Amino acid sequence: MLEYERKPADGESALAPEKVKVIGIGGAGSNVLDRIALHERMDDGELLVLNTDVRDLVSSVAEDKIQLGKELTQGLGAGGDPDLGKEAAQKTEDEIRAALEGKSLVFICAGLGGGTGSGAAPVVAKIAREVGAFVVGFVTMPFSFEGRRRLEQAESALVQMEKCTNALMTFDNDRMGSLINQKEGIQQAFAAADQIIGQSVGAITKLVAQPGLVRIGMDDLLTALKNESSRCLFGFGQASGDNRAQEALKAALKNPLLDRGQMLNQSSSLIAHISGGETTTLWEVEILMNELSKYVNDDAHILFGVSSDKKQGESLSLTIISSIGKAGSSQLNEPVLDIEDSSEIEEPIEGEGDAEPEFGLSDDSDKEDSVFSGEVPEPFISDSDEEDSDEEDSDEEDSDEEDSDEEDSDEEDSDEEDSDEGLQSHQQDLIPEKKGGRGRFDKAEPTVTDEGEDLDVPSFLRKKKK
Amino acid sequence: MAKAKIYAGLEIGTSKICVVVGEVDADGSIKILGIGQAPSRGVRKGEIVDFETAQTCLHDALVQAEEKTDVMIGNVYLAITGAHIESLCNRGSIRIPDGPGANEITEEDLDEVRDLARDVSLPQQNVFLHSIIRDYYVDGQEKVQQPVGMFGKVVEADYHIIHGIKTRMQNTIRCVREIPISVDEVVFSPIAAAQVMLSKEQKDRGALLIDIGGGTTDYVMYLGGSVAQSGCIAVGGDHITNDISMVMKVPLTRAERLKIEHGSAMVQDKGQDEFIVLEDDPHFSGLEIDKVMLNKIINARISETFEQLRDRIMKDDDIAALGAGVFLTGGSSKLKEIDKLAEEIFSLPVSLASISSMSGATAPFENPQLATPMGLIRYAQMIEANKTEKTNPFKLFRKKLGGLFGGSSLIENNN
Repeated sequence: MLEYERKPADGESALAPEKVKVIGIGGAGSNVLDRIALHERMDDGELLVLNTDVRDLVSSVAEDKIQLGKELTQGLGAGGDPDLGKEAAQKTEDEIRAALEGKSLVFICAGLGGGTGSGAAPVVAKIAREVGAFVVGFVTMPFSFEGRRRLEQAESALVQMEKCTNALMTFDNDRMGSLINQKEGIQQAFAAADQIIGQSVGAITKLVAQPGLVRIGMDDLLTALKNESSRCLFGFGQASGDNRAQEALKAALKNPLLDRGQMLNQSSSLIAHISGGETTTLWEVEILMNELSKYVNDDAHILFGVSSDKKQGESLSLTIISSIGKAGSSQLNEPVLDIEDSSEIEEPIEGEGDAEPEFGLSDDSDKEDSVFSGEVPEPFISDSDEEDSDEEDSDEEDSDEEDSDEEDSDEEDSDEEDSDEGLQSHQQDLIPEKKGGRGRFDKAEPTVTDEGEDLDVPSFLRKKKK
Repeated sequence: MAKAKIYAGLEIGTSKICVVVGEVDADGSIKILGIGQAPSRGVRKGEIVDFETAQTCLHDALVQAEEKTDVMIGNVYLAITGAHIESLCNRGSIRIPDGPGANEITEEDLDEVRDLARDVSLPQQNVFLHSIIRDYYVDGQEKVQQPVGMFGKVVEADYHIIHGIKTRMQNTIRCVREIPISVDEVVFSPIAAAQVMLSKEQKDRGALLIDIGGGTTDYVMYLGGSVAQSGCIAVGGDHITNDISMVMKVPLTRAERLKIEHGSAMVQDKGQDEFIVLEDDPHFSGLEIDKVMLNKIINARISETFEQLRDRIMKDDDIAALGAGVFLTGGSSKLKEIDKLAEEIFSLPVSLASISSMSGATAPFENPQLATPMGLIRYAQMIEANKTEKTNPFKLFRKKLGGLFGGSSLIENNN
């Protein structure tokens, strides 16, 4: 078997962690941040939460907090008014600017539709651009049940965000909500959304920060996300064992945003980043990419990256990032960092930039990290004891799911649909697969049309769904 | 007088493995001596997934055929299919050099134009299965059948190229080889089936042959006497059974029986709230099945498959140009009213194809399931006839069939 030759000095030329800032704005933003802090183990960046609501701010686990518009809102929220949120951010501009000074990569997470998120996020993005950072926005669009007003607010904020960020990933809550179990409460729906954004932030940081054999840079990220005002596609999967290449792909495709890989054939360019331990073989990479290419349009531009990371041990992970846009979507904003410039921020540091070392399947005690019992995590869980207890809970709940995964059984569609716990597992198959299994063809090669329809699922069922 | 030759055609299908042994007389007429059949296991969507099991079944079928016909089968013509097989049409063109006594088109020129036409970029792992001549053009003159000896400056040739993933085709070949039986030729299933299911007149007028098997739906379309399109959709009768089983929540064996005994491709008009009672057995509690529901499931699947097929064909050709219409064959074409449904979707006359151009007692073999292996015998005869013609001094006929089906380099490569 052909072994990938490793670079002599691993861990070099990564992004300095002190140059990365992850900002959560508003209630949704701080929820995402909490999740990142608790589960994604962001060694790669500093977390900063901005909010008008002082109660939310206090309960956040981020190390840096800035209260927006202290005088303006008197520590209350923005009351769903974006103008108030905007004004609050403007009044606190100096503080924000100081916090962002010297950063080269800024992630902004916000839920659009409300007051603080919609109002303040564009302001913060603008400040970040002004201090010379590369800005990636992660925004959620409200659920449709949140009403028309909020949707309108969200849309106008989205337009502003597009102008102010280098890359924008849009997550449609409706989409994520509809793909989780119907019985789930609203809490879970929101939490699922947070979870996915948290994963994306973690994965993207890792992607651009980790030294790679075949590197993926900001430029690639820009290409993959160039359909602005679009829906972002994101998938992450990790697996170990004999069949880990296929398993990782399978797990990544299970992500709701990819809709089992079927959304992928609409995208014109995507990032596929493979990260694995020293045992990664060229052969595995080849298998994985071959499999993936079945889901992708022939003309699509695949930006391929490989990195090797000792911390991953026996496991192999795959990150897929892409976007599909409305026709004639706007052109790229002028990037602050040019392709050439992006090398500047890759300052060599000792150690490595592994955002999610704990995902390794090889380590059983660790992998249960994705605590997801359906609630937004308790704030202030900063000491490990509490977190451990939380882990045990989910361990019990997840045990069924766990077994089936470990036995390497093929997609147990129906099982996953029915189990609430199927939402989360270490493999990040957090959302049940599409309803309607494939019966006897479960283990056969899938027959998928160019339009992405899985022909093994009874036509009758698919027809009914339309 | 040349003596009669015996050929064997083998199809490893998703639902059954079938060997047909046929005798070809010197005058070209075919007589079927017998068939061997065995239910197939270890095959999914036309391709072998479980080698050992498939081989056992294959062995059974061969033994049966040998017993019935009293013929030792040493080599076979093998039909293959699978979703990986694709086709395309490509045109090659060359300029005949001027010079003394030149501008006469020679065999060599045609070989060259053929190589040019075949010079298409296939995916790396793919190889040619067939490259079939469609038409020659000489200085813009269309539909030249035999350009050798003609004068011209520019010769063009349209080839229909069928290709597939090499390793996947080799797997089937290997399965047969290990019996051990040698493989004379590998043929894409619908091409073989068309040899017996469509008459020359139908091919000239334009016909679409759809072979709906257990795991795949293979098709070949003839326009103006030559193959215009061919391919495979990995959806077949198994899918119908699976659909019924999944929607109705009945075991697969019950679903299969429901499909065969009660299924219909068309949904009957309302007013018929007929129920089918499934008896309970130790592993299955009884159930009442709504017949309308059953047919809706079948209808959804088949119409979807037909629509896909139609859309695929419409990408390159106009389906209305098919003068002879649509012909259905394969095991799943036995489904009730499937022709009506096809008529609805293709808006063309649809008929269940029957075997033509076979002499002898064909009646016992009048089964759409046997279309492909029977076709293989005809195919073998044509290849053989072609070979003998090549040694024939009458040069004019030399190329008539030449290049018709050439191109499979699989067998050599596999050694």
